Amino acid sequence: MNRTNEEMEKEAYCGILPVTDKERTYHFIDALLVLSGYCIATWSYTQGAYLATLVGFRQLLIGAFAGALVMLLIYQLPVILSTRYGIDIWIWLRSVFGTKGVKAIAVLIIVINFPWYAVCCDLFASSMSNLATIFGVTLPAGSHLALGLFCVLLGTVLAYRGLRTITLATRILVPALLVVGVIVVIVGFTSVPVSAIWSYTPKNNPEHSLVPYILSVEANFAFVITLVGGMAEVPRLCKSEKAGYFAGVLGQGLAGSFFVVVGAVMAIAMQYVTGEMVEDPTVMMATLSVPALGLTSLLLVGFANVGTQAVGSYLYGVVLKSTFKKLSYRTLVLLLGAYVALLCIWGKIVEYFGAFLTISACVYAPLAALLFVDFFMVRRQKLDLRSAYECKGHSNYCYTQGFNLVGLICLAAGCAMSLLVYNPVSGEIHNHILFYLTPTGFAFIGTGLLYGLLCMLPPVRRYVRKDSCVNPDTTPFDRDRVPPKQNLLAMPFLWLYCFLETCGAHLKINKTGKREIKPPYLLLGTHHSFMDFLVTPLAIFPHRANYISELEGFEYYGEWAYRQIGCLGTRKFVDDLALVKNICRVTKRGGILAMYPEARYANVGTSSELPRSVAKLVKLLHVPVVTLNMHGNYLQSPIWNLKKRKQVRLHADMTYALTEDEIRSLSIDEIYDRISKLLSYDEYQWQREQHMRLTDSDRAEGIEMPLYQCRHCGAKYRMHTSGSTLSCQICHTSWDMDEFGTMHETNGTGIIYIPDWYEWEREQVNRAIENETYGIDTIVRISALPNAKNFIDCGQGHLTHDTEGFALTFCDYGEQQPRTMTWVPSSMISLHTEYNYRGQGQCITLSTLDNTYFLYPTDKDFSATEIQFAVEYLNKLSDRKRTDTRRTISSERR
Amino acid sequence: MRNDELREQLDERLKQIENNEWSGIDHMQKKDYVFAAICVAVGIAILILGAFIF
Repeated sequence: MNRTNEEMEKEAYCGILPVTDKERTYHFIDALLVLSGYCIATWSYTQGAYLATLVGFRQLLIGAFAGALVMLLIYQLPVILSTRYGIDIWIWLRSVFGTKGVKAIAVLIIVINFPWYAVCCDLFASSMSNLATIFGVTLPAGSHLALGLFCVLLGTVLAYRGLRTITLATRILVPALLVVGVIVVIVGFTSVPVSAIWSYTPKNNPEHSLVPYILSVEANFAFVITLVGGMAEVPRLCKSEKAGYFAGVLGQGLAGSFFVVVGAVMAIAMQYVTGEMVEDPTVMMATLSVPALGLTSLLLVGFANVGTQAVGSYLYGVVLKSTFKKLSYRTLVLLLGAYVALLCIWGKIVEYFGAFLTISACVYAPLAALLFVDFFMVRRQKLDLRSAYECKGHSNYCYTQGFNLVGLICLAAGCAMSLLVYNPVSGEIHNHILFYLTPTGFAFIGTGLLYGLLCMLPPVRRYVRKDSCVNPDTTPFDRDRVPPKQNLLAMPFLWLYCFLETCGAHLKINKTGKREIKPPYLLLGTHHSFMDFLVTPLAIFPHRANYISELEGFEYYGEWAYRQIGCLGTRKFVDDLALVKNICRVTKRGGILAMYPEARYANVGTSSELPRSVAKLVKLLHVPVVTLNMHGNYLQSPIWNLKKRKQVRLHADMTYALTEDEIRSLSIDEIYDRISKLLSYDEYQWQREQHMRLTDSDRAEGIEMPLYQCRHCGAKYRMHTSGSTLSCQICHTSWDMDEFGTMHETNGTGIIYIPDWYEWEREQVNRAIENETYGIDTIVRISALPNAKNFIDCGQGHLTHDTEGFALTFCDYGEQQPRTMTWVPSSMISLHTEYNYRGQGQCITLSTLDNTYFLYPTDKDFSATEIQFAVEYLNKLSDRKRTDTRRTISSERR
Repeated sequence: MRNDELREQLDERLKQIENNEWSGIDHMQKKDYVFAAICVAVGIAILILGAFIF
């Protein structure tokens, strides 16, 4: 093997490189032996002796095996990811805690975990001292520390030499130790009557109390969950996920638990023989076994601590390497060795061990829960590896300056949950009901639930799942689902919220019509801004309604919440028959169906032409029609500048537009004309009529979006706003917006109304289409929204728009080859446009029944408004052509 | 290994993962998950029963 290959292998085994399938060396047996070697430490005996003080032997047996296996089977599941990609879980944990947050957690885990190894070294020193005493050798003062440091040195050297040495050492050590374990059990059961162990019950155990049993299960849960930090280093070297997973489970759950039981057997036997329960295995061996066998066993058990120290140093060396990638593995192993040595020199680790254990037990369960829920539920087994490895241009896991606040808060909450149930220092039970779940079990379940539920909230989900492009949910939105009525419990809050939001603007609702309006009916409203959704519930109070809403609102607020407030999801400017069916369902069950037929916020406060299909829908539903013409909503927060203008007053005219009899008798054209008339508006005209001054100094900022073309020189896409001024960067003509929204030429006397300017632009586009000079050919960034769960980044695509309609060429998600999707002019009466969608700038959307593509231009010479004008005119031309064709055919028939 | 070499290696390996080229790794099957779930259920049942053994 040449040097490069050797180094590469070292980086894979002892570093951060993913271990390729060809580099995997471990089968199930190898992984099982290494992990067993790690778990068979003298702390197993200590744990066994501790359990024997709590419960009888049979309960101890159940808790040790069943308790350990249950916890391991659950929390170790995420190691399958480590096997799949050959990476450590600490790479995954960057997504849970952030790229910097993970470093803090790794250091915390090591600081609280490594006292275990200092205890191992202490026990090694005790074993050797006992051996020396048996041989009649008196060791000098200070030899205990020297022996402890010798154990640190041996373990560190083994870890320093790398994986091969550790594998070799464990292949020899572990089978020998298993044999020792069997011998110990035989010794234990032969030194005392079998029934003395089998029927053993602790003296201080209150009869029929569950508390000691739960404490024993808790001890087993806490005991096995301590491996969580280093659980993936060995499985990532396995050739199959199953081998990695079950080696981890059985290594600790069977081999580790077996030695816990061995420790318990020895402790019980010692109590039977000497009247004292001793937890030092070396003393037990020396007292109970035959000398030769005892000495051999003692030696092996002593050296088991060295094996544990070596494997532990390797595991946590790789953990540190995964988080501090610039430091070498060997440096980190030496640092870990130094830390353990310092703890040994300090000499009080055994005394303060309880405190370390308390802190660690509180942290491990939440950590394991976060990993489990993140792996299976939040990220669904897929990680943005490039962001996890902090590759250039990939920063999905940077979150808030490198810290994932949600993950860190959940970790802290999990620690608090554990302490709220039980105080491990004083032994006080704070909550007896939750205590049945055990503190570790409750912290695990509680943290998992908290994190899972938080990640279901749309803002949190967007924060945590910045990597959704890696594993997006592509299930199409369920358009056929029957819309629920507005949730009755939510209504008081909804009305209160609407009232509070509108009362500052002194909303007045003027109701006119033939009689009091009662459901069922169809409510058609004008569409200016989000405020429309807050005025409407107050207008129809005290009745509930169902609202038609675009799917992106479902994504933003969450599908469940949006359905609870009665929304029916659809996509804009598509023929959605499922929506029509649901509308019919709402009116048939006696409800109010509220819709905003313009389907888009007013760009400049004037009404858009309504689709004729609205009149057809009225005929189809055959329920009364009510119109709600709102005023002030646009002026308060226009789409081109969403900052709220506080001087605006709100007003709404609610009119009983059509009775059932009228619907029956009037033609579709007559219905259409009446609705159009009732829903027409010019907000600037209304503002002037109301003498409503808007004195905000930045009142013109953003208006260059709808007014994209210079009225003076005709230059497009070069308009600029600042404060109340709109200016052209080409001819430098500027206009000042007065307090009533009228534009005044700065160095001239001319004035122009914004809606007139807007319509002038429309004429320019119409003329360009007629002169065959209109055309858009640009590169766009595409974000797809197939459902209410997530946007999916589809990269860049090529968009053209001309008299044939739209053509979008791109690679849709999950596809390798680009394809071209087309939208013909006859299929779209208008186009959805955004001026600054979620801070990403202008965009237009193109929809199919099961997907909406948000298209963001990469070129600054782009105006969503211009394309919208073109779409509307091309649709009209298409309609005219179709009507002409029909007329020609009918005249030919005659 | 130099940083640029390491970065190159990492990039190559990540590409292999993205292209599903690691065919040598056996994945967990549904039956394995079911087996683990059954073991958990049995384990919990034993733990609950254990509370009644004194």
